[in-house]
Amino acid sequence: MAVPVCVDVAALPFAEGAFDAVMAMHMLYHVEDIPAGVRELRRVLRDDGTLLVSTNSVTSEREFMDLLMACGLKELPVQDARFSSENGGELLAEAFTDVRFFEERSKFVVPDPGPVVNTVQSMRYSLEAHLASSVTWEDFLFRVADAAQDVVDRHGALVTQSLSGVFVCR
Amino acid sequence: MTRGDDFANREFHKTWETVTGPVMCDFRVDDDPGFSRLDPVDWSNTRAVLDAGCGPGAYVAHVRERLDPPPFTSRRTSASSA
Ligand SMILES: C[S@@+](CC[C@H](N)C(=O)[O-])C[C@H]1O[C@@H](n2cnc3c(N)ncnc32)[C@H](O)[C@@H]1O
Repeated sequence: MAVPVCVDVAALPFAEGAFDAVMAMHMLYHVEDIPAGVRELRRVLRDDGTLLVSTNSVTSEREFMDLLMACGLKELPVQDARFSSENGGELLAEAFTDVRFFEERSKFVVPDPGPVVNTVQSMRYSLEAHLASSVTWEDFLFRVADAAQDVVDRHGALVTQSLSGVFVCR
Repeated sequence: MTRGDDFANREFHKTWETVTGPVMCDFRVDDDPGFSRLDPVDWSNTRAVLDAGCGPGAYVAHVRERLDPPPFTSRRTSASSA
């Protein structure tokens, strides 16, 4: 039975040790107070239970990010970097004694500029503030559409490597 | 979609708010369709699992499949036949 509960991970309404296993997959970089979230994940986990945490590397999707930079993004948004493959271990070690990282690689092969533009549109909340001052959001989307079309015309698809990983914490 | 369609039309983007079409994640070529990242957990010793920030629940079916006990076989049947 799966029971959905809508709460902040930094204030979980569960007793100490209530869970045999806890997962926090691609979510800790969204959390306002990451150390508080990690402490809560530890608190609700059984003493000898396992926490699995997945996240991205700050170098993930480099080819896609390069395309965005060429279209008027002046710096990469920092959101993912708040809890990444690179710094996640340190943040988890505050509450867990044994933290191991397993890297995962995959890629996106996008044969059409439409999904690239859709993805950028869905990231508006994090990208718009990082545009060069002379570039409006509409300009940016237009440039991305054009640049993605060029890549697809030249290479058949936009290929970007995804670098992520899982921390196993005990 | 090709050049000249709506996605490359400035006016279209000015009014385009909700993203409902395919996104790049739909084109992931994954080396691990089996979710082996779940393997480090000792699922045999696990009943209650918290999936914090589960979103639409991409992991629920994969976790459930690891938690479900094997099909029940009646001991009484084997005892009575012994
Ligand atoms: C990128 S999605 C990941 C969804 C899912 N875990 C997966 O891997 O497919 C991030 C999720 O984190 C959740 N989230 C963000 N901040 C949170 C918080 N403070 N407490 C709990 N969940 C949070 C969001 O609601 C969203 O569902």
